[in-house]
Amino acid sequence: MKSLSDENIIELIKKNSQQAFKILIERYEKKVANTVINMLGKCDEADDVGQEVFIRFYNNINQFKGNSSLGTYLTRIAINLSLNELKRRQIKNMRYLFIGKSERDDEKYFEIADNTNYENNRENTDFVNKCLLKLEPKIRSVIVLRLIEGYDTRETAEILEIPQGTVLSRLSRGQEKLKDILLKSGYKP
Amino acid sequence: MSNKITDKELENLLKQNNNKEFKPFFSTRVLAKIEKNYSTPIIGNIVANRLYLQRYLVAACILFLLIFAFSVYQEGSFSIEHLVGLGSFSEEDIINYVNPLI
Repeated sequence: MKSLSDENIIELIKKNSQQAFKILIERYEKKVANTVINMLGKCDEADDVGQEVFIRFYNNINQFKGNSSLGTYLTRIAINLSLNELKRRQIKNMRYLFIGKSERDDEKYFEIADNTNYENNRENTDFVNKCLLKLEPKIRSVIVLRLIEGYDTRETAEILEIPQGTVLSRLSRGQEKLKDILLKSGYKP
Repeated sequence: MSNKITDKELENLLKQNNNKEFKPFFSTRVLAKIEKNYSTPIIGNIVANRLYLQRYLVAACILFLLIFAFSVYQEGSFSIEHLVGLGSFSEEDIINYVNPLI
């Protein structure tokens, strides 16, 4: 069954084959993990959002018409859910600000990133990810799709539902900001 | 040696970041969650999906109780008229408001 095409697997899922769905998850798990973890950082919420991506797909499988590849479709869901999660975090942080609590998710992450020093963490593969998390979410999403996932400008524009010109401007702004963050975190070119 | 990061170098750094993984047994957990969602009765599902409304419901109840307590405190007794703000109007005032020609 593992050698079946995506179209055949989708047909089997529509006929309620759990085995087929399991194969589809295993096939795209890494792709979704890359998108979600690069957007949210390695945390419990990333795992939950990853699960939600596949659950949403399963519940709305009839809406998938095959206009784009399955990978692109899942990436679109992953990006949208990640952006929602970031908004939720932002609201939560604002609430914490009002009641004076210091347990702010994003800040916790930023603190980790702030303590990240490339000189001391050359082996730390999460270094770039932590720097990436300092970018604004809408710029981060362009960097993740264009430079990490390898989508071209047109595909990135389609996934994010923004004009191609906006993708290019956010990409250039994001690259400059990220270089700056990397250098400030101690990265030596 | 230049102290600037080139676009190519940045791209290579980011490409190395392309090896993320979820916690083990991811697919099993997704399937278990779907199974659980489908086994929850429809009414239960609706309630579970609307749990986020709970906080607004609590806030509304607290607000109602405060208004109620204030009304009882001011008037010394409970009456619907006072609660909806009609307590200080006489029957005549209300009739005049509804039909000033009478």
